Amino acid sequence: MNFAEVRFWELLLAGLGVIALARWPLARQRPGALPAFDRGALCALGLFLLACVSWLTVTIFLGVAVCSYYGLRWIVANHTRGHAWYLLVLIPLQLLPLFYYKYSHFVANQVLGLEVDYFRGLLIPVGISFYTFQMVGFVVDTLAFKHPLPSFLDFLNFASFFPQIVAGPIERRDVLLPQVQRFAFQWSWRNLDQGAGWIVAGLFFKCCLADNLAAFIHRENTVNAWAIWADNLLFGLRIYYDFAGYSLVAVGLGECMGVRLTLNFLSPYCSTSIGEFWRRWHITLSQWFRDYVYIPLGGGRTRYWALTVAVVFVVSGIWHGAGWGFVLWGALHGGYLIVNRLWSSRFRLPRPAAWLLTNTAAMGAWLAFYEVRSGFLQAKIQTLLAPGSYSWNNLRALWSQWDATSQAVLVLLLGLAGATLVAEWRSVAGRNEPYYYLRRPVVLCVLVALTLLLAPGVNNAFIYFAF
Amino acid sequence: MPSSTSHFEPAPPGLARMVLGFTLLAWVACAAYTLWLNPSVHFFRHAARVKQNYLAGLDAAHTNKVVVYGGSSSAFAINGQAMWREEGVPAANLGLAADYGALFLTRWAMAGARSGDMLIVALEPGLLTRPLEHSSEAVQISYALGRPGLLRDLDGSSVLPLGSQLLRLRPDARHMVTLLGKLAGRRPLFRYRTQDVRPDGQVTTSVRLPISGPPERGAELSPDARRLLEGLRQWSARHGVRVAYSLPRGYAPEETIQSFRQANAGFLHEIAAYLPVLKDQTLGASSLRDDFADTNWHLTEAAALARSRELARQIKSWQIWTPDELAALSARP
Repeated sequence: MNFAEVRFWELLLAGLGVIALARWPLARQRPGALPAFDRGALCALGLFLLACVSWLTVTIFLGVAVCSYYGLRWIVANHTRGHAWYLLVLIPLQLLPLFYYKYSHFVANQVLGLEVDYFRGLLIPVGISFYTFQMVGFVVDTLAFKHPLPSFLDFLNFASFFPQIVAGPIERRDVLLPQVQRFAFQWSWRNLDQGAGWIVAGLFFKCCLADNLAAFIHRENTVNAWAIWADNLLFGLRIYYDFAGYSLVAVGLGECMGVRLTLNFLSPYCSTSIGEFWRRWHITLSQWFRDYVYIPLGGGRTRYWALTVAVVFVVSGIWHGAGWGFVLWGALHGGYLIVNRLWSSRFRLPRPAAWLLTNTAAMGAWLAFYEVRSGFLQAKIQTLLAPGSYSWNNLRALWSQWDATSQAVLVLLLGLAGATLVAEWRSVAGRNEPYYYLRRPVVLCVLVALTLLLAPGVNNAFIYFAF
Repeated sequence: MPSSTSHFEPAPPGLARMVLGFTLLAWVACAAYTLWLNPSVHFFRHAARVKQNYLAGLDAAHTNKVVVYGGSSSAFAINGQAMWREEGVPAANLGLAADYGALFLTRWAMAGARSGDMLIVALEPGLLTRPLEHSSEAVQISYALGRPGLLRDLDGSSVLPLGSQLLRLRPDARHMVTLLGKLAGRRPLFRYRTQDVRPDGQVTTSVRLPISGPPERGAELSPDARRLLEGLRQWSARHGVRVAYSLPRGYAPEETIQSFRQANAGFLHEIAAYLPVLKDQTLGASSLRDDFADTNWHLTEAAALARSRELARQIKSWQIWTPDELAALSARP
């Protein structure tokens, strides 16, 4: 379910076409059956698109969904008290496929040192980290707030809403469930108008910026500090435009279907503190960890708040991938946040300096995220800490590794990236409406033209599909 | 800071229709530019038509012919007129550009071969050591030639969905930046001119550029390439076309030429499992700098003449490497 591939749009249009053909006679003969039909058709469409990714993907999704729903139903039906104890069984059951496919190799071989080859070739089913967390949140919210259990069909629609199933946003029960419960295919231009801007902006982010930037990330240089920082910067921009691009298309598709999804990004690279960064980066995941891990562990009001922050961010790192680099990345951000909280009451940096410090820290941490080769990671960290590797010759060597055309392309891309970041920042800070300037009709035409003129001919999968 | 579930301002009515309409118009403009104005597509479409005309002439005049194909190394290296005039071998040069990829180039050459002909595969090693996905350039030239069927696999199955093909009829960032740079500097938009294509399809150039070598070494065949070579072998048996491989000649400085040849011998040893390999004693390497024009694969006219004569002799006498010979050469210290 790659929004950047033509195949996804062909399958989506084919699915919608079949639904429209089946719906038309029903609307004339049995209009009363339309609400149930629409919800059933939405579910079928989601599962069909997931099955087009692979049968394993849809099978595992259905396994987690059935386990989540019927486990929850059993708890609700049979036990009015002591839910927490049952959650200690149900949540691990929900997490079991995620653990097996994503973490078994890492835990068996790198943590326990068992040297087991069995788990090596396991492919992570697309979207498993996202929909598993969404279903865990659903179970907790339903029990904690004593919400009524919806029908299984509505639960499936909540968990499998196709724009967001494979890479988020990780929606909460109170945001998405009511919308899918009253879902109807409306086929209205008003909905399409509402979604078009998000889709165009998202595809520009992904196809024009992220995919072009990807070609400039080499990752091989371990001795030139400038080259390592360049890789960090380019990767930081790439992953942002890649993931934000996906999220914007998801929001746009949701709007086209009459469903409002949560925005996952609010110009994070304009943040002036690491706390603000995490309120703007992958917002639904941050909120998930805040509500289901950080607050249950005591939140910020206990003496052990720093330990809680560290635990949350290490777990967040592990959520992103099974490897020590991800653990380090999470730990770094946890450390930044602790230092930020301790110092923010004593020191106040000027905004430009705070912005520079925040983004330098965030970009520096990406090294642990993308460099999965431990030897390379260690060598690169040593280089970054060695003053001698910041020489003028190294800076010239960085620039001259690209031919003149590549240099011009890079300057163009960085200019476009800078312009979009400013536009995002002005939308949020000036107008209080995210992505306002990027969704203006004239700007959308420019984005369409730039995407068609500049996007590379190759399709790259979204980075977050791997998570 | 607004909440992540902010209410969005309603979009202007008609926005979706406007965006769709503009996208369609912009795509049509991009496709029109690509098919008719893109300097590279324009040059190679001309070259392809010249080659097809020469091929048709050979078909009319001879019972059987030799078809040599590959990337630009073949386009520059094969002098079909000299092969006929001096060695009596009627040969067509169907070499185009390496950017088009092994699959497209093979389909293109297969379409020009008939029963009784000989097909000489002269694909650059780099084309056979990576996955055989169609490049945007292959899609663009196939549409510019009006032959999108060349994008199919050897067995005729579809490789790239129609929608993906159509979306590749547009430039990309490198192309745009290069084009704008050349326009601003008032430089020629493409290095080669249509006059550089001789009537027999050979491409020549007066451009001379500094060359460093060696080019990409022969390495392990990719699984896709193995499938392609196996498919080509089966196709040749079915259609009565004789197929052989001939390694293109690349520039390698004297100090690296032995290791370059050794790597090439290993590569040819792998090829020999699928196709006969013509016995070129140079093993695809030359250290004569003056034999190369503007890249380390593009022979000058004089060097191409010599290479064409040698190839014609190898074909006439059917000199081929045995797998044992190649294994020994690749293992030599």
